[in-house]
Amino acid sequence: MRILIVEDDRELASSLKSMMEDSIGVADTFETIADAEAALLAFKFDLVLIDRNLPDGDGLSLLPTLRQLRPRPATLVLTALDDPIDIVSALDKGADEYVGKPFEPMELIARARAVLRRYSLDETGYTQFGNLTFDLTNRSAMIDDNALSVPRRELAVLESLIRRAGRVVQRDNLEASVYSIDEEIESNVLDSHVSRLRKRLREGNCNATIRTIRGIGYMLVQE
Amino acid sequence: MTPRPRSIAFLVATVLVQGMALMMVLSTVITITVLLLTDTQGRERIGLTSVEKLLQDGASYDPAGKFVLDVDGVIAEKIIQFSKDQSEFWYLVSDGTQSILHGTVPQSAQKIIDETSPQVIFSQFYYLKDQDRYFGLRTWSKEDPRILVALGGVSFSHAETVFVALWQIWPQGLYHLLGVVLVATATIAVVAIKRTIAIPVRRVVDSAEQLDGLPNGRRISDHDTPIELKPMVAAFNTALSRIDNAFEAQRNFLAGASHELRTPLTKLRLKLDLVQDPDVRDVLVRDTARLASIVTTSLQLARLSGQSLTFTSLDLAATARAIIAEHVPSAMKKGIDIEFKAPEERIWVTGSEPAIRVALDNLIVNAMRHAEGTETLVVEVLHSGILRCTDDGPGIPAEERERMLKPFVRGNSSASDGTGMGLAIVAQIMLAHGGSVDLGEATGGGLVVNLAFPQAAKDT
Repeated sequence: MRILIVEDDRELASSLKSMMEDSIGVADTFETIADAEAALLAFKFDLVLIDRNLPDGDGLSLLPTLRQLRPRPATLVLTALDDPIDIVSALDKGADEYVGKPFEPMELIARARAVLRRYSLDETGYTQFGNLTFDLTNRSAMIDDNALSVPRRELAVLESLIRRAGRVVQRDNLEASVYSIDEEIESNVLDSHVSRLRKRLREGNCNATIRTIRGIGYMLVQE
Repeated sequence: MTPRPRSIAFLVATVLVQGMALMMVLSTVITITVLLLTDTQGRERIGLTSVEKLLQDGASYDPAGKFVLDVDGVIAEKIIQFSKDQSEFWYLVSDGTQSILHGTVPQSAQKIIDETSPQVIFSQFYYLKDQDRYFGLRTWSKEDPRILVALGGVSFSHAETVFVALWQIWPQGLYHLLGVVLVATATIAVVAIKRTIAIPVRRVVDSAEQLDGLPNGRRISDHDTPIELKPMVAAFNTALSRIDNAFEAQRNFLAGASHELRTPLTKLRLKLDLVQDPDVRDVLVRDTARLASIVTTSLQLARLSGQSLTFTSLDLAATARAIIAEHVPSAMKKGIDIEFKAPEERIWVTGSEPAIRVALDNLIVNAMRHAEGTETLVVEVLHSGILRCTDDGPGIPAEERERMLKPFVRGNSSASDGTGMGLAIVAQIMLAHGGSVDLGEATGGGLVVNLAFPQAAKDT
């Protein structure tokens, strides 16, 4: 994994660099948008951390360039601006995630990993959570090296959950990902898919499990 | 008591009617003044022709066939009376066989009457009597060629002339016409003013109603605006621009302050991981978190007090569910289960989604921080548009609850990393929504916070 960090505060940049290198991969730091842009065009990065208040402008101005890159790096905006208007504008412009300063180091790493997991699923069709591997291209799942046999609908549930692993997926969204609009959904059919899937994961000695969040939905967590 | 709303159309119509009535009076006065200022001869002639007409019209036959003068009408009688009051006044009405006579016809006048050819149908003359000059008139009736009317020896006073002149003008229909014009003008004015004033004003109002309240949002369009309203629209738009500028300045300040405060905090927090002693580190991490929280909530409060919220109709259940979902992972790390309850159907309330988000964030963070020993946090949305958050922590004593809604107040029993502003922000947001916050005690002793939102119309 190669990470690009755009942060004009040198101390912070170096802390971020060591944090990322300890947990995710090699990181390069840049202080200006111009330098970062040049690096992005010259090298391939998997994850980009962008600060907003930079000497030569708003870090969000890098987003259009990022969007055009193939493969496109996962983007995490790291900023002190937490006005809802700022957050919405960052996400609208194509940022994958928005982390407000100050942050808990563990929180930032977890968010970065989640973004990378989604990014990897989209770019390579393949992602991992704990000892669970999900292969979108072959529509299969594995626990460690053992193939897990999962029916189509349950696999769709698993895909939605793994895309947002560590976060709650609302019932409505899960139902929408499993069933088409015109299909009749009985109220407890999703619950039975989830409980069967949960059983399969447990029996396969998976260290990821599905938690029920009452009244909201489900969440894939690592135990 | 509020003053009754005044309609411009009504006001203008009233002024118009009053103006026209005044014009009528003025024109009458002017007409009469002109009459009075003309020379004596003219005056007398006008008076005399009126009397002549009255005599001509009044001549008729009674049932016995006698030729008599029967003047009809109060004003006519009055005019005849004016004349009869003068000693030199005389008249003669004759149908060839019978005559009606008043006063004495002077010889000189009698001579003119007798000697003038019947071919001459109208003649007027001056004659002298005792050195005084009088005006006389002799005419054949237009309606009945047999009737001859002659009269003279009268001169009217100013007041009498006015009276006579008015009587002359009246039957011309001038005043009737003016009345009709008056009513017609008033009617047209009401309709026209409504079209010319009320409709463009309504258009400006419609345009103003579409203002979305967002910074650098819409302006009132002055396209199609009548020239009279343009200054108002321009002033309104200028005011909006000023508000936008002030809003923008405040936003820039907050963004700057936010950056300046949070970047060092971030560095501080990251450096704390280098502290070897875990006890010291934990205390420092907690203090930093508290500092960060103060910064966040202060900025939120400043932002809330500086901007007007844009309200829309929203589904409280869906909004709350989405916001609460985001807090589940961090709650789980603290060993707290979050449970959400809401009716199947949508619960429409009027509110600002970003503000509700800030309120709920604070409510949940507050519950997680201050309710030590909390295991379950239940957030409920009720049919009545109430959002209820119940924890199973130690609760807040009744006497402290009111105070908790003011900034920088923390419950005595609180954990140490909160700022005590969470509930104050919640209270402020609910106030801005026209709703309310109510703190209570849960069955197990925990805290119950009820946020009551104004309900939106069901059909929106």
